[in-house]
Amino acid sequence: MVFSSLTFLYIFLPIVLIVYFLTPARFRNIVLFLASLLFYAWGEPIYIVLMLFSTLFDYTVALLVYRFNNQKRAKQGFVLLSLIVNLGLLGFFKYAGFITTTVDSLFQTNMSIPSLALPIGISFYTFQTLSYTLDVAKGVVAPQRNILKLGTYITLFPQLVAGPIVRYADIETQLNNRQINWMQLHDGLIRFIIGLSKKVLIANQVGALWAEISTLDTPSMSWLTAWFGIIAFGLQIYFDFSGYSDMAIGLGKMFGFEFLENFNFPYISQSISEFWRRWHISLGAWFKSYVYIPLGGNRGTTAQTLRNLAIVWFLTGLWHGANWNFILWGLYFGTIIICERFFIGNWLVQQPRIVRHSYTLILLAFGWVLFYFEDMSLMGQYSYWLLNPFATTILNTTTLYYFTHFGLLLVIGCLLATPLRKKIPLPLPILICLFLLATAYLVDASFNPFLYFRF
Amino acid sequence: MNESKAKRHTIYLLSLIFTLSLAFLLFDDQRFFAYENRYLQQLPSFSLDDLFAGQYTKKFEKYVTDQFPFRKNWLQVKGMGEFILGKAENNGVYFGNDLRLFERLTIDTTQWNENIDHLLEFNNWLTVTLPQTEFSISLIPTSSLIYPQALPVFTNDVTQQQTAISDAYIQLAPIETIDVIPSLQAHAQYDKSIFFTTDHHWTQLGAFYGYEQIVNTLGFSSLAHEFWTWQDVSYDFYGSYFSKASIPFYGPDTITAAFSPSQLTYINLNNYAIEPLYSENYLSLHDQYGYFLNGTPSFARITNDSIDSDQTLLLIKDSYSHVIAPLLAEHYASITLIDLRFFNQSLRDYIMSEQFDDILFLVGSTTFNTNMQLGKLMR
Repeated sequence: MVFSSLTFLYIFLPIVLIVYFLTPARFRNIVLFLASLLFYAWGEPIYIVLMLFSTLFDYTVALLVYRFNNQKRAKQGFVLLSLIVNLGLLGFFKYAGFITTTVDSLFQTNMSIPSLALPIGISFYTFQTLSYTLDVAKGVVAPQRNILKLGTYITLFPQLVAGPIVRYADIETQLNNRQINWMQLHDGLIRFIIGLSKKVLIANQVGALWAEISTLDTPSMSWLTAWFGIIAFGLQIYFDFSGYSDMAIGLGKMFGFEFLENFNFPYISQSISEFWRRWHISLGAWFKSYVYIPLGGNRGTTAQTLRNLAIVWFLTGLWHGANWNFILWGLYFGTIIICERFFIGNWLVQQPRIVRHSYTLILLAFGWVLFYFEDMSLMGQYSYWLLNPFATTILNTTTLYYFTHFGLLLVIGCLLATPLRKKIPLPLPILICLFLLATAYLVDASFNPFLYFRF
Repeated sequence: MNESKAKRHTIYLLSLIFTLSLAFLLFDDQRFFAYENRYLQQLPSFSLDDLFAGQYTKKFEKYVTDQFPFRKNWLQVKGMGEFILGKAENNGVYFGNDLRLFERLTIDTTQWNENIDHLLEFNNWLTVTLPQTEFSISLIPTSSLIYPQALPVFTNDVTQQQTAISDAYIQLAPIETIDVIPSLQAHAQYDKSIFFTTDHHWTQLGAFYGYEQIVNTLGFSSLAHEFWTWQDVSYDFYGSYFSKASIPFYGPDTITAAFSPSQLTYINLNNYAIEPLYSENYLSLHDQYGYFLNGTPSFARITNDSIDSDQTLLLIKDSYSHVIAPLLAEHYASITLIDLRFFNQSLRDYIMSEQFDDILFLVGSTTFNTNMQLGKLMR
């Protein structure tokens, strides 16, 4: 199920809220666990087995890791087992098809390609369960002895399908004991409405624009249309993803959980390194804690740091989808971040703000081209249109059509992507209007994509 | 914000959600939604097979969306939202000037050419088999071509559609093609009611201008406007564009119908029932265009007992013909109407048995842009 649907808003959520608050505090985890399984089963009934298996497996392994804390080899063995099984599941469901296709084309073999539906959110919950076992091994947290509580953590529906990646350590105390008050419920609800509005009222609208522009070809395409389109896509993915995180954080709050923030106005960044500290924060933090630092981080030689950065960015790219364009996308950012760190960083900070900001946004635009186009020739074609004003024409009637009829939307989108948004007062009537407007756009469900099937 | 204000606001917001949930639960499900002219999804019956195939949940979500209480109002809120945001269209319908709505038509070149090929193939068969039968073709444009100045700025639909139609006429050169566009455009200079403002169809007056062109090409001399009695039959017609755009302040349209002094009989050939040529019943429904030819005939005939001719016409048509067929009927002893999409006999056998004098292929460009099953021409 997705949050931005009438079924979730007007059927699932009201029922879960009523049952949850009517249930005595000590049984509330059961309610959440069952609700989460239902939420997950809605889209993928079969993969509920996967969810239950993960819960049982990670529960057991973490206990064993803890039990053999003093026997180094045994403990390492169990950690390794956890890595193999968790990453194995991710690899099997998400990357098997990609790997066999790649091997086929490299060696001219003819392996049969497993065509499995990707379990929704598998990349998110695999990372969550891994963080749990690894933190137990590091001694950061004690293992959870109540399997239901662990199950609640793993399946928790607010962040199940599209993040943020919540580390067990961050909500451990809330799993055991959480107080809910009106303030929290209120803040959660408002956060949810903001997220819903971002997704339905902005992301879906600019997304519809991008869906048109991304399929244009010469002679309709022009240089300015290409730029207009990629800006629309940049806004779509930001408002979609951060809207989803807002809804997750809001829902979490309503049920008494405090998740960490996942986005912090990434488009105001003045370098790519800064962008990645503001974009999908929970993913960056995860890779830092569980890949970059264990590899040695930046404490070794320069060559080792370079290697570690390359690994992290290769994996970051791959995590976003099983295709070469995502790897390319990861390596693109890895390269820029290495450059900023070792070469141009000092030069960049001396530049005026506008230069730093433009530098960042232009690189991001090309990044989104890599992210969007799986077909390399289309990717190359679109990049060429962006780069060369004379590849087609600078502007044409189609450009003017988009400027006139989507200009206001894009300007609003750009403004709301900056901290100005925080300054907009949101009194109750405005919130009610936003919620009703979002409902209206969902009733006329013309364009409402779910972007995270690939993650 | 203090705790008590937070509590109050939370209760307001939650009651809003719960009220709508409750309304959804309590309201009866609707089968047919006239506003959108379609059947709504009903509560799907549960089966494990459907669940595991992902069908059940999909249907269930569609059910909730379709049956959501106050559906029409939500659609109009959304329409207004798009309008205020400066969008040019909603659900593929442009918000034009002069309170006129237009269809956003993107020509599907592949489909378009496929349809042309089917017509050429059919013509080859016809010229060999029944050389004495006259075959002609006319495509009816959308209102964008007739009132282009009222389109939102910077749309390119007009050139696109005009080019596609001209191209089609060039490719269809072996067949007699009748271009009604210039005449409609000329009349549009002073006549605002050639097309409805809230529906995709041309009006019967628009059809009259098309009729003049067509019958003159077919070798008759067209009757004057005064031959018919023109009467307004409805002042509150909200058509298909209106429902898609969902902007409350567009429309309504007036429906004017041409009443003939001749003795016309209208027969539904599926069951040989005699039906009214113009049906008052439809004027109380949402889709009032059904007034003409009593709904959507798939296979029907209009006979004219007032003329001495024994000429017959086969009209391969879509709903745009429903307003022109009664006018053409003044020149033929009988006009047989066939909508190929709903016609399941062998057309060739039927043509051979009936030996029509003329065959006219007359459809809207929007229909010609879809798979209108022209393969059936050769069946």
